[in-house]
Amino acid sequence: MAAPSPVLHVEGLVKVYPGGTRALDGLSFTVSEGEVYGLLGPNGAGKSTTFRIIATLLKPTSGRVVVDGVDVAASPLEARKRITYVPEEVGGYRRLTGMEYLRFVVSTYLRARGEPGRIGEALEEAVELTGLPREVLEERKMSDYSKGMKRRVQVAWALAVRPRLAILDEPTSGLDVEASYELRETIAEYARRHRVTVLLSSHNMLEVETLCTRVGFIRSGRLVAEGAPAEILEETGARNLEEAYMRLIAGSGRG
Amino acid sequence: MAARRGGPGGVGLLRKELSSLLREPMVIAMIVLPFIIYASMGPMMGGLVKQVSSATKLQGVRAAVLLCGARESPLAALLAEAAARSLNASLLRGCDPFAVLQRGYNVAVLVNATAPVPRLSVYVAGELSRLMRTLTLPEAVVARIQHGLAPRSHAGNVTASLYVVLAGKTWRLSDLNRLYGAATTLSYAVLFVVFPAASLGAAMLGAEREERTLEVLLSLPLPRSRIALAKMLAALVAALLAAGSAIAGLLYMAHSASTASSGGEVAAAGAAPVTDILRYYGPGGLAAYAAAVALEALFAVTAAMLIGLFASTIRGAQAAASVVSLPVLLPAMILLVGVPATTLFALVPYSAATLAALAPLTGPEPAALALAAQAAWTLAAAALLVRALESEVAVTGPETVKRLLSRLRGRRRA
Ligand SMILES: Nc1ncnc2c1ncn2[C@@H]1O[C@H](COP(=O)(O)OP(=O)(O)O)[C@@H](O)[C@H]1O
Ligand SMILES: [Mg+2]
Repeated sequence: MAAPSPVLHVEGLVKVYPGGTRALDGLSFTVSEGEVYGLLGPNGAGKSTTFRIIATLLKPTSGRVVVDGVDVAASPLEARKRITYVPEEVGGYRRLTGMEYLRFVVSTYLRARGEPGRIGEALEEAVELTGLPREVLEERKMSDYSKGMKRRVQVAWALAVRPRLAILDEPTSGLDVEASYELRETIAEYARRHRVTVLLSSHNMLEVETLCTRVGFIRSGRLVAEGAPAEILEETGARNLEEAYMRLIAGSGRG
Repeated sequence: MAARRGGPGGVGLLRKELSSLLREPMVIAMIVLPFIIYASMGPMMGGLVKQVSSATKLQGVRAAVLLCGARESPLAALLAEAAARSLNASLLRGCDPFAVLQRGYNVAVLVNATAPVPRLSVYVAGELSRLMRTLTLPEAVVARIQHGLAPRSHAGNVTASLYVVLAGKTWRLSDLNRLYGAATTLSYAVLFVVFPAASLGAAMLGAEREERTLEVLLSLPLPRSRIALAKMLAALVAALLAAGSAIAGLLYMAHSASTASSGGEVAAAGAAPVTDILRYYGPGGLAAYAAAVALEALFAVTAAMLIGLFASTIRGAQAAASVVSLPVLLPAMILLVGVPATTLFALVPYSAATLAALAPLTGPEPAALALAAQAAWTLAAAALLVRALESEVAVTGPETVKRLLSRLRGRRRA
């Protein structure tokens, strides 16, 4: 069996914000095709900064990010054709309906990728993935949507266009138990079925355990441990990921 | 004795509203800027008053009275002598006021004796840089002559035709006044476009940030230049619609005023009649003016978007937009005094529409130069905007400003 090709390669990433905050300090990791990779770490560890660099929103101070063979800093537009990104703070255009929003992002994305023929099909899939009634999507403006609904809309299109890499920053944060369960199931199911590679962050250990094929623990902008959930448990001797997290990160002090 | 401080709940609420408004740096800018703009008009207004009073007192006037064909009319000779005396002017023989003006006189009064009744024609060498003086001088000259003829009577018995020679063209004073009115109107009309343009431009990115859609938009596979262009054009269209509505309303107002005042006195409405504008400008002039307005509006949109990138809220962004839009007042107000003689004025942003409005006076060159300069400014602003959108400022701008300000505050406290 050939080694799965890396979809994402992050190498020695350093990010110093204007003002001097060193958010990333030599972060390296690799995500292979079809993986659901979870980045775990305390607030301020540098997860969102990492995602924004991969999504070409921020420029790294040094280091390299390659998505599907494309150097993100050198060819940002090419890189953006390969990724979708759902930021931590989800939003939506107040005066547009969910459907109008989906139509805009899906068609923009697929047209740029040279696949205009897939727009209709991907749109249908996105509608289904939201799990929202069609009349809500068609008739109600996004200003009426709850945070959970907005998140579902965002995650839905980010998966439905079948990017090489979908980046989801804390996709279930702020959602109630039921909503986050459903969203988690959606992501897991879709990623498995269509082999969409997913990179996400989370504070929910249960979520990571059930959803991720591999996890990386990040602290002060550096990776401190990495592996499949089962491997991590084995290495740390912890009973569950929460315990492992406490030993790996909380125990050694915050950055 | 627990005295209740702060009074009823409303006061606390008001304090909260004021605190959150007044801590917004952009709101501070919006409050301070109008003062600076209007106060900086002070010297200009002083200059304006000085121009009018120096013209009324005929200060700096070198006048010549020309007697043309006077041998046939002793009455004309008397009139010419009296006029020369009251103006303290040289009395010359001849019929060509332009030649006299070219010799360094700035007022030439022609007494034409060939007609049955002697007629006065007053020619004033106008100055673009002192338009107010230029527009006041001809009547001041006539008033002085009348006063010399009949010091105690108010009713003048001399009729005169008034002309101004300006940039090689000879204008009837009444025509010049109407053109000046039209030019001022056109110059101010830009405000109707630039104010909404700046406000809309600021909101274009402010809304994306406030609705938390900016990061997704910027992560889509769209060139940032396309995003900038689409937003610029959308804001421009809305601003032009807003301006169109304002201008249509004003025209209707002028129309109502002109039908109410049977004589057709439209000036009261504050809008120059369309016929004047059409007469003085023609299709080419109007096209140049329209291009200038569109370019200035696009410049305002773009600059406001650029500033809006650093604001975290729409309110902040729109307050910031006033920084961009208020300077548009300057050329319109400068016009009250006169057209600055220097070409530097044409290179300043927002001077294009004013100079296009003045083109019938100045000839097309200053307007063309200003149009090119405004296009360059707009392009530069657009290029800067695209660069900013391509850089990480689009994402980190407000956060960087916030951290910078809090650090400054910290240093002041320390
Ligand atoms: N725009 C910014 N300017 C300066 N510092 C920032 C900015 N955004 C984030 N940071 C800092 O960078 C560090 C990492 O933040 P972030 O990547 O958001 O962490 P996480 O997503 O893991 O919570 C934090 O210390 C944060 O305060
Ligand atoms: Mg984060």
